[in-house]
Amino acid sequence: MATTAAQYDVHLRDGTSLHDLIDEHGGHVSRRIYADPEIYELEQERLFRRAWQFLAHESELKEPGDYLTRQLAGEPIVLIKGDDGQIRAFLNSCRHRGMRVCRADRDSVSFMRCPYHGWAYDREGRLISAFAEELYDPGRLKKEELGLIPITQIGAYRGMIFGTWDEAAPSLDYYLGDMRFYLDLYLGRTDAGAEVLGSPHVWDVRTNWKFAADNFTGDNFHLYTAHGSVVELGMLPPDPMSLSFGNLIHAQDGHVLHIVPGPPDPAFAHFGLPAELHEQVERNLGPVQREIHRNHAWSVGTVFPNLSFLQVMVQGDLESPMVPFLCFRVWQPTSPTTTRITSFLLLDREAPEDYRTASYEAYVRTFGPSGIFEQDDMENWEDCTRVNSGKIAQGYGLHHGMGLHLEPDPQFPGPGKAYPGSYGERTQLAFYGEWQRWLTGTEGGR
Amino acid sequence: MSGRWARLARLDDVVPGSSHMVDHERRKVLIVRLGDDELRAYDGRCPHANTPLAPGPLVSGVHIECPMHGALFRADDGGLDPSPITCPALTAWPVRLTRDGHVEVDVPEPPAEPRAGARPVSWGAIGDLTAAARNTSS
Repeated sequence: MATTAAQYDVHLRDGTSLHDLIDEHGGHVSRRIYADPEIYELEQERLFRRAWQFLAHESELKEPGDYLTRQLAGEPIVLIKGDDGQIRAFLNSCRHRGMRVCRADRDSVSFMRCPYHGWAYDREGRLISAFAEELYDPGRLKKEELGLIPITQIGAYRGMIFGTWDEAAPSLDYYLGDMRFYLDLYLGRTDAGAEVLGSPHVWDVRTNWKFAADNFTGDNFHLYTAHGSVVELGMLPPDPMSLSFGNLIHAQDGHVLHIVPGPPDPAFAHFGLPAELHEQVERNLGPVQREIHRNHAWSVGTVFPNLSFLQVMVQGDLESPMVPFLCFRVWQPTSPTTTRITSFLLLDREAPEDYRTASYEAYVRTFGPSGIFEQDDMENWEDCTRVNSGKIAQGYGLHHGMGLHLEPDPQFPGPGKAYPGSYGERTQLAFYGEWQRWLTGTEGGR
Repeated sequence: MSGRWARLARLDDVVPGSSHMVDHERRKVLIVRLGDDELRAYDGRCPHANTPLAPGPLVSGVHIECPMHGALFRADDGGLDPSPITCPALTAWPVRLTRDGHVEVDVPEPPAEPRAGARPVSWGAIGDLTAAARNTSS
């Protein structure tokens, strides 16, 4: 299934080299990558049908028979918990005519039953019954060979389930690499880990997925413009440089994030988590992770290619205190210029009940389809996509040059390259550089 | 009751709270173990589409669910509970447990070999059909 780099044609039909679309070191990005159908098809083939991508969190499947329907590289999949307690993932497609066998977002079933002719599969994906089996020539219907098609590889890290269609893909642990150190901060800090609250928000946006990922590489410098109304309401200090400190980190292979300390106030320690959890955090994290967790209040990042997260403190409104929430979101391309967003709120399982409620309220007021920040972002990403679809516009590149003169901080104790400050475009460029390497078959060059 | 008792399983083959399928003389026999030694035996084909039922744990601990169309039969008497489709109850056959731990079922004579393309028995006699057609049109 995997194609090696040597087989890749790196030229678009008009002769443009894929190597010319991104200048990672010069800080330049072509507008074509956000709207071109040919680039979209290459992206699907060379990136999305090969890379590990997030599918679900283990906490979403509680009992045997619970299933979730999701997508992997645009193909419908179903994750289901078997009677043996194991979570499996399959192409959501009957082996008879290809119909989806699970049609709800989530449900609990004894059998995955095709609505077309009734072929039924058990909770482990085996074909149990086909219609009128007695009318098949004996031996013709080999049910043992007609189970649902499993996703080529699935793996889990800290409860996060990932899948890939590529049998040659290295292990999930290898793929995540040094990003695991940072994911641990948010997913491995409490004894029982995190869980997803309820069902994710899902909505469709007329934007190319890369604008979303780009924004979540740690773009702090859009806050004072795109989210200016939040500043005017008094929820952020009026100084536009107030969030410029901290670090932008390229962990490895396009996995990026920023970490930003809060003001010198204990309320901002440990990302603002309730004090009841601090002892667990100190115990579960390693010494360097513990230090980072204690001294930061905000973090936004992206697990390459399309899983992003926010661990941030916000005010739901002017009367409410700053409350943290942890959100993971997936950006799934549905066409060159449309994206399906799936946004999950996660909570440490052992967080106190009043904190859980406050965290949920802070999240829905600021992010998700009703959130004030989210609406600002959608407006910008949709318009960027619309304008960059123009052939005249595409004659000119986009400038991604902030902070390129800054060198990684050699004193920074965590893995990866940590650039000083959180206003800069190094992490965007690390994301685009990795994207370009996947499209040209040179990815993962750690 | 045909008096054709057949020794089909050992009690240990059937996990309490689940069902076990045995093929016997062109029939399928579903043996259900409700409690320690409380047994039921049913015709193992769903009366709706003739689909073999799937053995395994009882659904919600009390139902046999047809894999194909989702009919929910009560495990203790074979009756149909509210389901996605309508169909008759499962046909129960006498079942007994021998002293040495074997399950025996009184299985009726096997059905005639099916003939390809034959009119299904569910249509009944031609006379019934034409009567039904007359009733509909009048």
